[in-house]
Amino acid sequence: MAVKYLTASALVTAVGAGRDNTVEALRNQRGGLKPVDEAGLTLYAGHVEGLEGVELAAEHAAYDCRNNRLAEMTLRTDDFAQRLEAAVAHYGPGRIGVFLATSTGGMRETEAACRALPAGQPLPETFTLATTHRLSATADYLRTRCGLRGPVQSISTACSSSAKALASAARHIDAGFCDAALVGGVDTLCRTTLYGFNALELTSQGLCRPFDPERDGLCLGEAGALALLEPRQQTPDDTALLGYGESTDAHHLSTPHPEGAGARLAIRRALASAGLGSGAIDYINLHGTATPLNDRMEDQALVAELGDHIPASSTKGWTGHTLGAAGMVEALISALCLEEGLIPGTLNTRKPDPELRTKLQVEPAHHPLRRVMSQSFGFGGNNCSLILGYP
Amino acid sequence: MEASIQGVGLLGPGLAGWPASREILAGDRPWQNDPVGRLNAPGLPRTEARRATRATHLALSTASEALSTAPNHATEHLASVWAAADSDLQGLEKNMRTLAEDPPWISPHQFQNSVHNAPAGYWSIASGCRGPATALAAGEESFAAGLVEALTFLASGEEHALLVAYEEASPPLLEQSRPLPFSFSVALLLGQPGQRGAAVTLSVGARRTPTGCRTPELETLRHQNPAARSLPLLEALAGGPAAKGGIELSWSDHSLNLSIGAAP
Repeated sequence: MAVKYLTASALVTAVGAGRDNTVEALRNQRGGLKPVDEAGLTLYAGHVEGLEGVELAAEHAAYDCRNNRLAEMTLRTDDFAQRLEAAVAHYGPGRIGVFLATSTGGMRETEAACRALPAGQPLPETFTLATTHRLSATADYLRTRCGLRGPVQSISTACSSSAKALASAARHIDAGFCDAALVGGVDTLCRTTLYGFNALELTSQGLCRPFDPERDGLCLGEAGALALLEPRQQTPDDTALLGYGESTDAHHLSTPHPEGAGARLAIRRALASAGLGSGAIDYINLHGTATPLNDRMEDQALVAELGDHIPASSTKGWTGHTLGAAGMVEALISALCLEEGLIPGTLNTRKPDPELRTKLQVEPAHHPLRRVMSQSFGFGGNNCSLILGYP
Repeated sequence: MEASIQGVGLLGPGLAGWPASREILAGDRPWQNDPVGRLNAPGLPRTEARRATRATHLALSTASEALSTAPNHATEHLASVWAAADSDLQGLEKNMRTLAEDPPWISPHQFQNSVHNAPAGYWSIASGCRGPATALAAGEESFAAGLVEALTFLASGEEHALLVAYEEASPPLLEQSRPLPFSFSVALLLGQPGQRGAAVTLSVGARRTPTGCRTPELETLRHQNPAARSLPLLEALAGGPAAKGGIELSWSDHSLNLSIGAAP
């Protein structure tokens, strides 16, 4: 692929909004997971504070839901909306695409509306399904709110969604369907995911501990992560998307391939797409959900394709697993690591699982980084590896 | 941008597979409002076939029909795009009813089937394909967005790309807030230009009135299900009288103009 640059970005997770809060949390091991109660089920999760107070403009009232409020909060972070406006003025609104990933959309409001219905009654015609619940609702909100007129689509491949949104945006730019793209992931906590992951016995009883021998599952989280993807850098420090690799497992809907066959293919494709060898990677941001099976599979795939000498860590102990937003959250964290020369630790993990061979970074370290690989593996055996850094 | 259309799969009311539908789409036989025919997703292991939803069986039926004419080697690393606005509202209804109970114990299979890429995942299991699979949503324009996504896979060097656009009918809970009176699914196996199959040329222009269907019955279907926005293109592929100036398909604030040429 032709190199693209992340020329502006905004990140909102459970550790707070914006670049400075995120870097401070990573440096000081300040996590964002807290007990969250949902209809009697209490789990540690990454809850974004302050969404209740976010107001959408009156003309966008039909879009009002937690997911779109989080999109709005993210737009207002680190001057992102202003940076986007400047890009619209430069490229023209018809040449900027929207590639927004979500797995939940406005599910939370649909769940609440259905609970309030008398038995057997349908949701009323007035229910704003298309502007809140639908997977395309957040993409449509951002497009309307920001006056964009280019291609618009919502990518939803579970936990690889927003990593794939970057890949899709890069392909659209390369094929000439747009010149630049607003790319992002926005996911919010809802009963479907909290009870769903709990039913699959994939949730932790406490804090998630990626790659720890005593890990017992994941913690969910909500997050908004947006970036402007352009073919040219605006400042010499802009992080580049150097390559991406996508694959499927052909194995199982909710269990990863035991030897990570699909993950290995995604890693190989990412390296080929960037024109790099495995020796070029300085740090790996793990998918690292802390489920026993994911971490074992990921370890096998990484060791087979990249060896066991590259420092790697999971940042899900800070944010929780933000599902459809996770790929972009971790791409933006990777960009911060590149800028700061920071290798994050693995929060909540007490020691690396001796059965896993990946060189796990438990405590944070400072080291100049040039290229980072970020992993995202989702239900449906859907995988995406990204390479970010400097060309 | 150019591509070739090497295989077609189709299931909708009165449209039971591509061979049976060609004459109807070409205007040689009248359309009849028969219910959507039998779903057939070959290759799914029995356990998976039992767990999969009707929406997945619908999408997989057309995917396998489109691929039935393709050489075996096309599937191992085939890129695929799964486009649906609402995908599986039947499954959503079931989940919403379960989650409204006390306690709201959703089952593991209910939950894993709720992801938008469930059909893509089942298809990967059924076919053994490990290629990239993108599941996307773009409201009423999901077919157009899926087509463009598939073309970007070809432009990035993939030899083939499979596009499946599908939509399950509304259940009672959602028939007022999202009326979808019938299920519909279409699959296109796309290849690099100059290969076997019909040649398709796509260009992007200013927004124009989308091309409608030649028969009023099919035109009604086109309006009622986002996947049925493919019907004018399918009419052209079926070989009826060609639309002047190509087919206009709404895509964001633009129109996609599609013209179909003969096989090379």
